[in-house]
Amino acid sequence: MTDSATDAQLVRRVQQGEKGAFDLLVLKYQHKIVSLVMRYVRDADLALDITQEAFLKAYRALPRFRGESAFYTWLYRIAVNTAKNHLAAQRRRPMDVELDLQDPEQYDIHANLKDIDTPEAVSMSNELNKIVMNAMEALPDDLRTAIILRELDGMTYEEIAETMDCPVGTVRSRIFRARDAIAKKIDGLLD
Amino acid sequence: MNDALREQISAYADGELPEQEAELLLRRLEQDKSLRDLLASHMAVGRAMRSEPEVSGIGNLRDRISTALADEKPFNLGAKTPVANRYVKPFAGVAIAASVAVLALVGFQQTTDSNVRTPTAGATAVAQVNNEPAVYTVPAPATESGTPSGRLQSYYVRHGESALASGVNGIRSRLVSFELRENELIDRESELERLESDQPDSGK
Repeated sequence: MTDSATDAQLVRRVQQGEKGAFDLLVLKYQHKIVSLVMRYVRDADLALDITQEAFLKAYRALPRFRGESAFYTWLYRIAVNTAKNHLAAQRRRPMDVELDLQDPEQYDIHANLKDIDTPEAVSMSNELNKIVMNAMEALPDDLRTAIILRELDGMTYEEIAETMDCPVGTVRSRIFRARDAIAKKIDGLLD
Repeated sequence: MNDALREQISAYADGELPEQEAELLLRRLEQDKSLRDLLASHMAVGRAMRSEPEVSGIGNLRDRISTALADEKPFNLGAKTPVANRYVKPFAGVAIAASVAVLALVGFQQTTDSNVRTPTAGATAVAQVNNEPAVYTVPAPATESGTPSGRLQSYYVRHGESALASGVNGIRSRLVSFELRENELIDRESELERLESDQPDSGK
């Protein structure tokens, strides 16, 4: 099932009254939208507030969403407008005025986030990296290779199967076991 | 939660779950927050491996949004009403079962009627269904040998005569003159004519 097909299905389910489907959409796009909003406001708490407002606006507007554009494009525009409205209310200018933020395709969501990390966030991030690296080193070779090819090289299961000379089902199982092992190590570190 | 389900969620996080599995899993994810939380943790592994920066407090964003939406009435666009479904489905099942039973009964009755050909069977059935005294007497059908009853025969004859008188060669009259005898259709009209033509000779 393609990404857009999954989104379309989730949107339909929300329109039919299934709020859990909207939580799945939030889960899928919250990081992208927060990163986007942080191009307009430096404060992380404010960015979260604006992101929340954007998602609520999107939810309330969903009955009128007819799927003429992709859900993410639609959500992106709502988030940009919400952030702009917030700045207009504060009479401030966005930080990255030179970027065309109306176009989700042009926007590298993680481009400037590191610039605005707080010392606490940097420290936390370093600790997390260390734990993840240790967890990966503890994995058997085949699991470690599978998860690296997937998460760092962005390969599909089929490409990984070809690279590792094993069936796609085995790749799926290896990635799951690797991910499960790492998740157990970092669980609790992420709020 | 079994490993197969958790593996499915991992594959879904990668967008690698086959369509048939994905559709079912999506429904489970919609219903079960603990499954969505597991999906969130699988997605977090990838971000952590790629050293993607996490905004402090983003882990609570989903809960904040869910809480804010808790009082909102769910939409109902183009959905089958769950309440109606809950009651209609069992009744629909019963109705279908009842229809099948009635059809089977009628079919069985017709089979029985055609096999037994008891003159009173039809009348009894009519009287039972209406629960009223039968005011219409069902004409006795053909007997086992296939010979029409006397009343029916006289009707056929009268109909044939009137048809002939009006210059119409009544096909029905012609058709009903056939009789089934030992699995053979006998043309009774021709036979009667033959008998009539034979009678004077035999009387002589």
